[in-house]
Amino acid sequence: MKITIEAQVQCSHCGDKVVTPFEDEGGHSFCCQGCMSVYQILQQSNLQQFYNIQEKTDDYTRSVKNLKNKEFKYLDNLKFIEKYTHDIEGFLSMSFYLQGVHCLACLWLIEKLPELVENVMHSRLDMGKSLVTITLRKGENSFSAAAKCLNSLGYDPYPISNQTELKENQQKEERSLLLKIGIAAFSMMNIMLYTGSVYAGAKGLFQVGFGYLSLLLAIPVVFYSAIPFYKSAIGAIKNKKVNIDVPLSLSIIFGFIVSSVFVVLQKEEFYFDSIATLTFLILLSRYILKKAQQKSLNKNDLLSIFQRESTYRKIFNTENFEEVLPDQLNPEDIVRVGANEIIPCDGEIIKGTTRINLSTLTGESQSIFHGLKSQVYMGTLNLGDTVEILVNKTNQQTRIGQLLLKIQNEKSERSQYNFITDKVSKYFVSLVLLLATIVFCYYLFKTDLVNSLEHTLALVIVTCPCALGLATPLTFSRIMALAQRNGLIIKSEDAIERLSNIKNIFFDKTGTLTTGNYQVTEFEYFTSRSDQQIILLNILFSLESKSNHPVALSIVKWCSTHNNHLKNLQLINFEEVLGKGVKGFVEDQYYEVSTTDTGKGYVNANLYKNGEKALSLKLSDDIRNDSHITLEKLRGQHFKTFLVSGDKDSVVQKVGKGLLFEPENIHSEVPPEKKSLIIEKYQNSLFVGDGANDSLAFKKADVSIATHGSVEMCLRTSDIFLGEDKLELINYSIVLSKRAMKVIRINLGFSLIYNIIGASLAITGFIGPLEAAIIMPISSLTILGITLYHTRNGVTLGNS
Amino acid sequence: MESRLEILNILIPMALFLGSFFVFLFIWATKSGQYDDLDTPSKRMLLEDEVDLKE
Amino acid sequence: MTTETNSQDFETFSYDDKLTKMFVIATLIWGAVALFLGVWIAFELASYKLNLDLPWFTFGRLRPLHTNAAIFAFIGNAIFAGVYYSTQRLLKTRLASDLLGRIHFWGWQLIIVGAAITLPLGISSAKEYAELEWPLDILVAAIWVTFGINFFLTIQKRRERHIYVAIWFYIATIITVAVLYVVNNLAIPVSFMKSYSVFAGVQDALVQWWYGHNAVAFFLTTPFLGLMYYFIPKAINRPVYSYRLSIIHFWSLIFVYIWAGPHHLLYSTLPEWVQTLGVGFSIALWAPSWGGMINGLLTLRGAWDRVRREPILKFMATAVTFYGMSTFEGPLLSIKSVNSLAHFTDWIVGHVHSGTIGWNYMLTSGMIYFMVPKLWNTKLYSERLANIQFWSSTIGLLFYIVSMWAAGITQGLMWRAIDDTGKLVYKDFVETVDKIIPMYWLRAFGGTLVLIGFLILIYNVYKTIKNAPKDQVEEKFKALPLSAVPLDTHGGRHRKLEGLPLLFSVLAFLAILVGSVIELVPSLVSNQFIVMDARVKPYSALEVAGRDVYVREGCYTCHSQLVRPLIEDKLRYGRVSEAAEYVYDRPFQWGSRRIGPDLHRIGKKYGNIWHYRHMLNPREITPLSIMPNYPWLYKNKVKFEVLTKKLSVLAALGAPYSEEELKQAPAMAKAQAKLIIDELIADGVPEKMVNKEIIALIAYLQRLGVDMAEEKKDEVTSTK
Repeated sequence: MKITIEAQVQCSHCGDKVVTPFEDEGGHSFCCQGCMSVYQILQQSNLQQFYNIQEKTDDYTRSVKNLKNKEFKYLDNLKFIEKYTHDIEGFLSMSFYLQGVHCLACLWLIEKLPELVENVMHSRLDMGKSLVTITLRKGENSFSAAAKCLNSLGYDPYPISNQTELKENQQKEERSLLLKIGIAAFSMMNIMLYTGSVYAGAKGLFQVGFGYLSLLLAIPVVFYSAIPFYKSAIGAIKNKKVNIDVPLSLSIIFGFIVSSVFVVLQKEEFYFDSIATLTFLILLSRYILKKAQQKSLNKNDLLSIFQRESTYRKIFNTENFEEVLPDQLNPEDIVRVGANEIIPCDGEIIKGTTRINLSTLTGESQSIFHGLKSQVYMGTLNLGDTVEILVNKTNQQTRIGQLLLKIQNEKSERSQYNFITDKVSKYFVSLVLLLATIVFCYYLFKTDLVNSLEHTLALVIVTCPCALGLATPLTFSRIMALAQRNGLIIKSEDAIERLSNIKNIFFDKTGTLTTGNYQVTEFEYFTSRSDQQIILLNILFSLESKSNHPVALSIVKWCSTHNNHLKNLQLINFEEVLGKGVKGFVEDQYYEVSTTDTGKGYVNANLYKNGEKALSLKLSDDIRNDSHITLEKLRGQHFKTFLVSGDKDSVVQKVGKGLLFEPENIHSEVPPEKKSLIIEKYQNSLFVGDGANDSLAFKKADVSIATHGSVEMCLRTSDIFLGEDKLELINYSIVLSKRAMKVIRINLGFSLIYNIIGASLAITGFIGPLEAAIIMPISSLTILGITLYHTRNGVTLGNS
Repeated sequence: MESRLEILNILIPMALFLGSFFVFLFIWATKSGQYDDLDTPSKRMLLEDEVDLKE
Repeated sequence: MTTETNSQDFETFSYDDKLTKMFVIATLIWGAVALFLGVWIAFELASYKLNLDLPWFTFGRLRPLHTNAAIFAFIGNAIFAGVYYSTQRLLKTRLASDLLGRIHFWGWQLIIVGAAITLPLGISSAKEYAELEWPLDILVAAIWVTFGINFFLTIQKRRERHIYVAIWFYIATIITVAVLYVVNNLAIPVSFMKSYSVFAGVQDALVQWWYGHNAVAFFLTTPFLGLMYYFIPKAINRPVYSYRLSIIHFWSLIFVYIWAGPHHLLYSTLPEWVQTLGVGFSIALWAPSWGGMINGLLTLRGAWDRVRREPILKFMATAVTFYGMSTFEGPLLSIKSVNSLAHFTDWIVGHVHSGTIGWNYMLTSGMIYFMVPKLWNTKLYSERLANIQFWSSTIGLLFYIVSMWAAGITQGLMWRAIDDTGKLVYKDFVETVDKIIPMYWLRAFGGTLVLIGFLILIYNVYKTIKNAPKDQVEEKFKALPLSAVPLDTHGGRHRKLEGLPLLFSVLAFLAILVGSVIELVPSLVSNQFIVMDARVKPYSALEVAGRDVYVREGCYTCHSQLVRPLIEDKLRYGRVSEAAEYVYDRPFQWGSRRIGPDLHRIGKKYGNIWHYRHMLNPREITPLSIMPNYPWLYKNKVKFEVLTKKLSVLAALGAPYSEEELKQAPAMAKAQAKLIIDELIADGVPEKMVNKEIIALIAYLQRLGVDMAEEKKDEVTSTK
């Protein structure tokens, strides 16, 4: 029988319906501790206007369930400040990447920070990049108060260092590109006006006058706006390669010179409007692509992710401890690490016993028991009780430090992939040059210099790869925008091209194919009466919710899915035996839960009532339900699939068989350093992983996908990141990449046909400035149409 | 008989001069960072921070 | 975490809303006047009796008053109210100087009163939408510069670094209107209230319609787009659909907008390529305009139920829709074939009013309903009344547009109807006029509905203000001064540029531009360049006096002086006009409407007595005519003594008068008048009429188009 659910109460902060509300003295109810604290903060600093802004725009903030009140002490550390802050005329400012910003009320609240925090003078939010820049008063340098306040309001701040691309040069780069586009646009529109008059029949003095005017207006385009093309062309030629910008620059420069000559000779053929248009269009498409790329997360300074939480160091031969940052530790110090804290260094336990989860290092999900003298590594999570550790290695020397150092300065030796379009432009340029010289000599011989110049100029302008230069960036930015809409973050366009040619796919086990934590798979009651069963469930729930062992957490989660009004019963002398289970008295009945690891990939957890088994559960690191379909689909497209994991052989074999991997493709107990060696043996490899340990493997594979839930680290080292917890996004990303390359090939085909026709017409003299001014935009528009048509939203999941 | 349009000798330079003045404004705007963030201004203009100083 | 506010850096300030209130009230008053005038002249067209045979009431003089009142008084004040309200809030600062604001307000009202006096008296420069005489022009320019200075100083002391797109639209408006207004009104004064335009004939036409179109563009559209980008998001409390699109929309509009004048002069004597260019660019302008409309409408997406209920949103949504409609109709009308049908007809009037009433009137009403409760911090008196106003104005506007479409297309088709023998089906022009009289009644009825709507708005606002709390305390705001907020490193260099230098560079630019134009123009345009056709002679002294009567009575508001190179024009009016014929016309009188027939080939078509009796009572000659009577022309005497001064000014501007003609101007005028009167006496006209204005007018009318009436084979072009 189901217990009826009492009347739903609405949380007065985030508006979620809630069953067991938290009450505050003012009689308001909240869904969680987080919402209550945010509500109180707003009350104290009379910022209740937050709520009427919300109503007016009727979009509610998300609830702040997992509000971990961090200290952010590391922000005040001088070394940190010098690397992360800007000093402008004595004012210190730092930018934070904020998670959880999404509505007008958030903007209002965040920009009200100066009224909440004493030493903050100004806070400015950029909602597009969800980046807040906080400026302190003159002479102040502590950002921790500001960060703490932001965190307590439900926004999770990540400091952005000032050397990162995001802050400094990317902004300058974007501005200069925008300037070039603006000037090209102005010149293009006004040149069209004057050359348009000449096309419309202005004769005599006006025609010459307009010629010179167009020349005058074309100068800023050719000598300022088109600089990026020349730079990249020269760069390409320097290392003996040819990219799309070489033919482009050729057309612009040659077109400009010859057109100027024609203006001086008072002839009618000048192509300034075509030159200005193509420069404007291609610059614009590159600007759109630059905007689509995710430059905010990059790979330097990875170690700092693990050095954020402060830890406690024992003051020499005294019993008390001082709060200190991990990078300030030095060997021979003694450190105290409490429950649920990250181990700040490599060393050995000298007091106390605990269970440690090594997933960040080895990817293994199961936590392992560590007693006296056992070796611990930096970055792993202490799940058990507080222990004291003797430090022997810190910072870069630690095992994870070495691993990350390798990743950071690992020059990505992926084969230098150049785009199809660049390959094509190599032949294209030579062909055009050849044709141009032939035409020039033929007409020079047959008629006179001016006539031959006319034809060559027409040829060069018409065959300029404007359509192609426009298509590739546009296709990639459309694909990346489409991917992002479906929860797939692709960080750069070369990943798309590489993804379209992969053959072998390597999967990490924990966290990628499996859920990464223990799930209850089977359970059995030893009493048939259902009211008894609910009591047993309640007891199990109360006992297990006292321990933070991973198995206990899964059991608690399982219990609450079964029945969501379990109450915490009164327990008498509750006791947890590390690694064995929990026991205690409820209303003078003795209950004990014993968990045993069968070693065959699953764990038994039995509840005994006064020594007699009442309820038995079986937990295993279950395979994700969407793993089967995704693997089936991938194998359907003739990809070879491999399973690579650091976990124990028995578990890996069981999962491998379950997912129909060929035995020889299953590799188990592979330490992080070795994973990349396996991958190197294969060409066109894709690696799908999640933990920090896969970061090195990410580098070696041609393309790397980090699944959802992985630590911020993967976000920075992998090429593609699954924003949502769906494995079929892997399939979708491959479909998208293939479609992108298909669109580029179609555009390639179209522009080749267009060029052949254009060139032949130009050679035979049918093309003049007016005809060029018509067919050039038409060709660009068709390319644009093809690209937009093929990347419309119809590219849904699944269909290839 | 083509009528002479001397007026264009003034109108065109003037239109160009006016246009280039707006280009100058565009350059000043881009350089001084008006277009770095194009998402938040449209939302920030909705907020009004009255202060009811109840003396 | 400390919670008391650290206010030592924050500056508290309050907005100068009193100035906005004054402009709102001025908008309401002058709006009523302008709309009333519009309704009145609409009824005058429907029945001529309403002209009351009084000079100050005839259509010729009231129509310029209506256009100037509607554009500069009604919409002008509305712009200033909206600009002052939004700029202060967007820049989080008070206006730079309250004094300049007051000077701007009272100066502008003075100009309006000046116009209300001079235009009915016939003191007009006869340049459409710029009819004010030169002293008022100078006052307009001075007040506009005061507005500019105050505005740019406010930008300079702003507390919000980012300049919102609306402010950019205001900047563009201020700068461009200043240039346009000065250049188009360049004239050499003859007396306190009379001047001759510096440009002549075809060139005057191009400058006039370069101004005419851009007055519409930069006075009726750009500022209102700014107001749209501020008031719609504020009213719906939701950000504009795409801020990026609005920036692109602004810059693409500004870089090239200044050029789209020629589509008003299609099939005129303008060179062919200028016309094609005009067509091309007008169609190109369709894109940025619709970019603005889409951005405005999509801002309202997802809140359409509120748009149905709240009057403010109803007004604004309708305004943007009509903006889209009229900016689609514009490029359509500028296509040459459509233009050949629509030019000079009432269809153009429909297009103009779908823009002015549909876009400006509606957005102004929405804006006033949004601002008034906030300015007087009270609640709107009655939302029901607002809805009534909305429906009455919208229905009125639909009546207006549909009737004008019907009238326009009827006129166009009837004028050009030719039977299979190649003759005009409707030989007599007045047949078309008679056919569309019902349309004029319908249009007048529509206009009345719009006027009633506006009166409801005035009543509604009046009641709202009446029961607003008496002690209006100025709300206090606080924000960080810009100086306190450091800009990132490489941007710092430009902060120095932001202050006074920006303001001075703007003023310097204006000074250079205007200075160069004033100094350049006379030399460039004076005679040595103009192509003379030997047959074309300057007007005689009496004809100049007659032309001034023609200009004073605003005959150009109903009659055109341009025979287009179209069969129906040639058949109906005679030889196609040529550019050379207008060389001495200062200002050019091509006109933009043919309520009456074209007059360019009227010279010597009818006898003097025909004109003498026709001007007294047109119905005596053509019974169905709706032309008003002009009895005062038979009473006022021609001021002969001032003719010397007039002719010498015209000579200075390039008319080849000999020394002797200048000195003897009054005598020669009297002599010519004598000749005309001798002929009229035979038909019973009393001798004492010799020095009356009607004689001078007859002299001018008989001269129109005479010089090049016949086809002259020999190619005669000589440049002196």
